[in-house]
Amino acid sequence: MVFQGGRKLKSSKYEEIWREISRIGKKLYDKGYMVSHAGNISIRAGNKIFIKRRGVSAGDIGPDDVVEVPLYGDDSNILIASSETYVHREIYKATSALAIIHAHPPFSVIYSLTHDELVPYDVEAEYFLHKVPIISVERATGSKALEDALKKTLRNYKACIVRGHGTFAISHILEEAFHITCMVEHAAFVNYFVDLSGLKSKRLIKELKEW
Amino acid sequence: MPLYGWFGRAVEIDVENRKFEYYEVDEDVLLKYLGGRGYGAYYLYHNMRRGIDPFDPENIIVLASGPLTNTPVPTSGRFSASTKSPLTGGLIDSNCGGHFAPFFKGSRIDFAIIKGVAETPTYLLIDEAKVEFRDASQLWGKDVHETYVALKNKHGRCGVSCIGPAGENLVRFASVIVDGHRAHGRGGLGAVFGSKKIKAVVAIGNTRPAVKDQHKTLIIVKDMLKLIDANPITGKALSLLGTLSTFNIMYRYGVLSTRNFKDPLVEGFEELSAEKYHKLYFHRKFACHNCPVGCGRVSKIDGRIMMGPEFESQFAIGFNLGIYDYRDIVEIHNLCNQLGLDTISMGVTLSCAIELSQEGLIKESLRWGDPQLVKRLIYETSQRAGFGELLAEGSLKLAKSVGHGEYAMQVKGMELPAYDPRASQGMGLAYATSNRGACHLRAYLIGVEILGIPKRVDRTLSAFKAGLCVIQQNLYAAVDSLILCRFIGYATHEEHYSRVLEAVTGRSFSSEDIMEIGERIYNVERLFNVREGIDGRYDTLPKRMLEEPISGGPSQGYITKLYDMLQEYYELRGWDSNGVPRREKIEELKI
Repeated sequence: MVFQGGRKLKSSKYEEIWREISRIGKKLYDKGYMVSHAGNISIRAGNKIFIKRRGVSAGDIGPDDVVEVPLYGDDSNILIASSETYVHREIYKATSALAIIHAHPPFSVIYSLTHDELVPYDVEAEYFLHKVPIISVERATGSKALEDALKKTLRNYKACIVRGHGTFAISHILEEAFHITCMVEHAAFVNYFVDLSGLKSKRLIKELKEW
Repeated sequence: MPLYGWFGRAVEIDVENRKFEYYEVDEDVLLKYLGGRGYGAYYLYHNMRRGIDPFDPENIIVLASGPLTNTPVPTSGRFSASTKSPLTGGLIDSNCGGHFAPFFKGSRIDFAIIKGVAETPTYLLIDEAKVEFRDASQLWGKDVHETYVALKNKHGRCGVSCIGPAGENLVRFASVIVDGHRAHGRGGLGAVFGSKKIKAVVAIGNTRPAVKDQHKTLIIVKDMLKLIDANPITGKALSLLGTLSTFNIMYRYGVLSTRNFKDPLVEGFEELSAEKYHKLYFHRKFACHNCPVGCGRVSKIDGRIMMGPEFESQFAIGFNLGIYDYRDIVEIHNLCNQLGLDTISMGVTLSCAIELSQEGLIKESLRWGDPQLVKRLIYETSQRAGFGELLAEGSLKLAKSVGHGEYAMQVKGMELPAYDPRASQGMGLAYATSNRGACHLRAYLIGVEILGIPKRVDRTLSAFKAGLCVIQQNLYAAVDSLILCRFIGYATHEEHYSRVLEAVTGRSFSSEDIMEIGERIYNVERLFNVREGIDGRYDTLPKRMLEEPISGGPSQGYITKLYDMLQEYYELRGWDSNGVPRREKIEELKI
């Protein structure tokens, strides 16, 4: 298939899908979770993945900036698809996810550099997430090792943090993946400042460490 | 490792020869299908020949508990029954609450397989060591309440599951009723009981299954209870206003129709609101075994205590028929339960009949909004008397008998529940692709499209719905096999189910394992149906939903854009364009 970076190539649902990716991308960018042009967002529809193209900021996604790549095999759209497309693809194959957000929220990255897991101190994140694993791989971007670690972890958790890199959140709905990303960052923010205070949190649900 | 959660034991009951035999259930089957609906689908797919008439002695009933049944897990008192449906000709499973399941599983069995036809009316008495075939001649002809009271008085502390006259008379949508008022409602399970001359099953076992990790189980149970309590639907709406709370929201969004889905429901809000019911007729609430929610309702009307109503009954035998007075709705709901009839199929078959009458297509003179007429027709249906003979066949056969099948609001022969699929695109796809026919419990896209769970997705869009439908169908198939109540799914998720299943059984399960088990079950059900000739040609909706826009209210102008969603749905499922699972999918799922 010859690359055509636009709507004409796409399925009838393309309009609705790129608009949704753009809407969520703008929110992530505005919150500072997508640094400059980094991070990626995708939606699965049938055996296709719709993903933000490379070289476009999440805050500026337009109708030509979401590319359609097959779930199985490659076509020439891979030329411009996000650099983490293979990671997204492997997660889709291994889980029931229909939407994935990979972001670089600052407190999540900071927290991952000093901890092995994120067990939220605050109520909202505790109810919603229970626990967020932090995974560590040598080549933490675009590698097979990263694919394997994410596939395994996300079969049992809706989000994880890749140490020193960023968050991966999966859901059946993109809006929900956005919510999960926000909650991970919120939990990391709260935990970070509580720890920084040097005081012990009076609220740690120890049972969640077993989650 | 020994089994935990499951007993790993089932009993095969031959009612014709009055024999029973216990057998061990293969652990591999338990891990792949869990129990409940999953085991029913597995057993019937592998053990029943193609083309068996649902009333033939060779039809099989699978009664099934799940690995979480009668454990501390909230809502784990549910029970499943599967058979070949006399209404659809396909596989049917029907899930029920109440208090039967703990006594059944307490008999140290996970499943009971019922075969053959008894010579005379019989009820089965199941305990921990045997099955007894008791004479039910004196009970035959009795209604559900009379039967329940007689058996309860005789056996004391026990679970009673029985049929009414409708089941005895082979009404194709007859139900099986538990505790005298909770229903295995859909698909005609009661008629298959009737065809086998089984009036009731009484279980008196008292053994709890072993739990592998009690400490961890209780940690997860505590978390589930916390979320159930905090969630506004499970912690507040369903508890305070029952399932009727659904009515108010659906009305406001224009999701409800009346008069056989011909007209939008744009009147009667005050009379039908959940608040009105609770102000005038609410007596107390009712909860099934180990349920923290308590969505059931007990009414007090003119000094009489009656069970119900439920939202689906309020629709089907209420405003669907032009009946808006709660006093009538509760009375008709109880009449259906006592006769052993599914209120949804009964109500929608009646609305089909009334519309046919209004159009001059049948000779009977029927009209909307006449509770006395409705009660008479329901009774005649249960007896297969007069016009009831035709009504007892269901809406599709009724409408086809006069050459106008398009007046039957059904999918695969099963009548539509309350949610008008034109007002909720995802629900349209869910009805059309449901293996058991039009059903709101195979996938509940109303959850995302109207209630916003977990997030709201535009109900008018066909995008995103195929994936959501597949996910929900798979998840719910697994939940129906554990077995837990669907309502706690508003607050808890697959991560709870996998972790608690792991703690109870001591076997390893991830969240995605739960989804894959559900997918396997959904595919086995589909394979059963395909073998019976029910393939993608039947994944459709009544013509009215596809071609006649809603004529007023908040959803004016909407139709279901089914074919915008269907091919993507098949693609996601790994099925061919005729809705048949591909070989690769069957191998991937190890069916």
